[in-house]
Amino acid sequence: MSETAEAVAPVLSGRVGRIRRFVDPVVFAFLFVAAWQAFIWITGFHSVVLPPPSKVWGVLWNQGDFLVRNMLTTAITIGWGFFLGGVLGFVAGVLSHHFERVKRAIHPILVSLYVIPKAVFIPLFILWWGVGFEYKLVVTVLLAFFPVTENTITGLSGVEREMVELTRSLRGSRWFGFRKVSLPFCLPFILAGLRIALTESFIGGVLSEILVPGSVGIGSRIVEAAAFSNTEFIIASIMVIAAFGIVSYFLFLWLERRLTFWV
Amino acid sequence: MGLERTVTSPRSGSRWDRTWQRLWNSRELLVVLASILVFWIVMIEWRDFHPIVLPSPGSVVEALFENLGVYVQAGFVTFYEMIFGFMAGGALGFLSAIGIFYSPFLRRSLYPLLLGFRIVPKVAFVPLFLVWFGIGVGVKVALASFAIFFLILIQTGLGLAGVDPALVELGRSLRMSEFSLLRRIRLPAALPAIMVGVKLGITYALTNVVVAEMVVATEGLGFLVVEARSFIKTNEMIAAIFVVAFIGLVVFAVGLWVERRTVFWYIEGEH
Repeated sequence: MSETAEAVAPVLSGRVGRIRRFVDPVVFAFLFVAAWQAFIWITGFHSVVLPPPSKVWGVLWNQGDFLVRNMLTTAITIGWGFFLGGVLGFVAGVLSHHFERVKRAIHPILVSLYVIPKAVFIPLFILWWGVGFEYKLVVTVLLAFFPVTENTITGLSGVEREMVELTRSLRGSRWFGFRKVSLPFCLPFILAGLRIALTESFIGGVLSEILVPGSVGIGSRIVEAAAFSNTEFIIASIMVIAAFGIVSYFLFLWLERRLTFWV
Repeated sequence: MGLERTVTSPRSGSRWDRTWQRLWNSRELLVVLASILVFWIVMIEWRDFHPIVLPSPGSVVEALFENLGVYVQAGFVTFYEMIFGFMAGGALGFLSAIGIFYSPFLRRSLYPLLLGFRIVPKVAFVPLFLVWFGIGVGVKVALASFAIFFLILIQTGLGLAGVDPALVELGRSLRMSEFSLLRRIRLPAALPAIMVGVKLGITYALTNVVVAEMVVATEGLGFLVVEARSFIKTNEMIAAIFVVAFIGLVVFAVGLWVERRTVFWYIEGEH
């Protein structure tokens, strides 16, 4: 897909280019942190408003295991929400495609739910499912579901009918045609939907915790830190979330390339 | 498509006929919506749900009309926060994208970082914005513009990078300055990608403002939802949810309309 970094960065060929593709972002990040530290030193900025990187590093060093343990709790919600939302979204997409009546019945509702701010449902979910794991799972599934459904429908409607009919005329079953023709064709679409769903799952996991302070998970820890204006703790927590997010994002990109090697 | 069905065009016949045909064409949807309503009523009448857990549809409609003035007032707050957030974030993202585009080093170094950063939930920054801007309008505008900044930046970057090199060559051969090259060739060619960002951005702005209102809870539509919950007035909460959903649909339609009007040549070429 065109959303990768290569689409924008000028192509550097050869071994040097390949190394620089990884080195340049690291260099930039290093320069950014150095400039941030220098800014605090020179201006003597109030460290409650903007703590220097050294203080953030201190939090990461001293309370890192605490942060990571909270993040792992959140990651369980994110993982299950992503998985269930992906599976349900795929099933809903396939059903909508194969049964015209189902599509006419639920597709307008799905599209409407996709585009409205789904976060407003959260208080209702808290009422129905409490503030525990079930509630967070429902929120995450709700956010992860729609991109997968939409992309599955888009992908399946692009499959050439002649190719599916060819498998039918060769006396293949409907399932055979689906497995051998439709599914490989729309796999890139589904994976692109899942990629959006991964981002949405992170939002769901963290947002559902932010709205119930005092609960488990890193989102609740961030809100509590805000009550004490503990900015270095907030920034350290965001960095832990970012680390988990970026690692899972690149894992997903790697998996995507392996699964759709022909694209 | 596989199913034999007659979808009659709503363009023929009298006005009553056309309305009837429109309804008939969306009969499955209407059946589902009606069964949701029936299910809702049955749950209350027969299973005896407590109104706190599930209020009756009647009481929701009642709350909706009773608080209409409150919704309009809160809607205005949400609306201007959304507009401010969208404008500030969009303008910054657009200008940064142009800056990054003209620096090969930034394109190689900063752009991959920004792409990776997309996965970080922006809502995690709300507590930080809370410390920086207090519990006023600032937090909500900050969250919305923060989210939109990245969206517009990435879309503008994609658009600028995808411009046909032949067009740029043509401009160069006409001795265009770099500025007029940007204004007359690069940006118009990048406009479809930018408008995708604008279309999504309007919806994004609303979502983020509502989320910030829910977390910070001082005013606006998101606040109304949270406030109704803390007073355990579920009917008012559901009414507020309906209002937000309705505004969300309107905002999305506006986004689609803006995209259609600005890059009509691209969209017509696509389909």
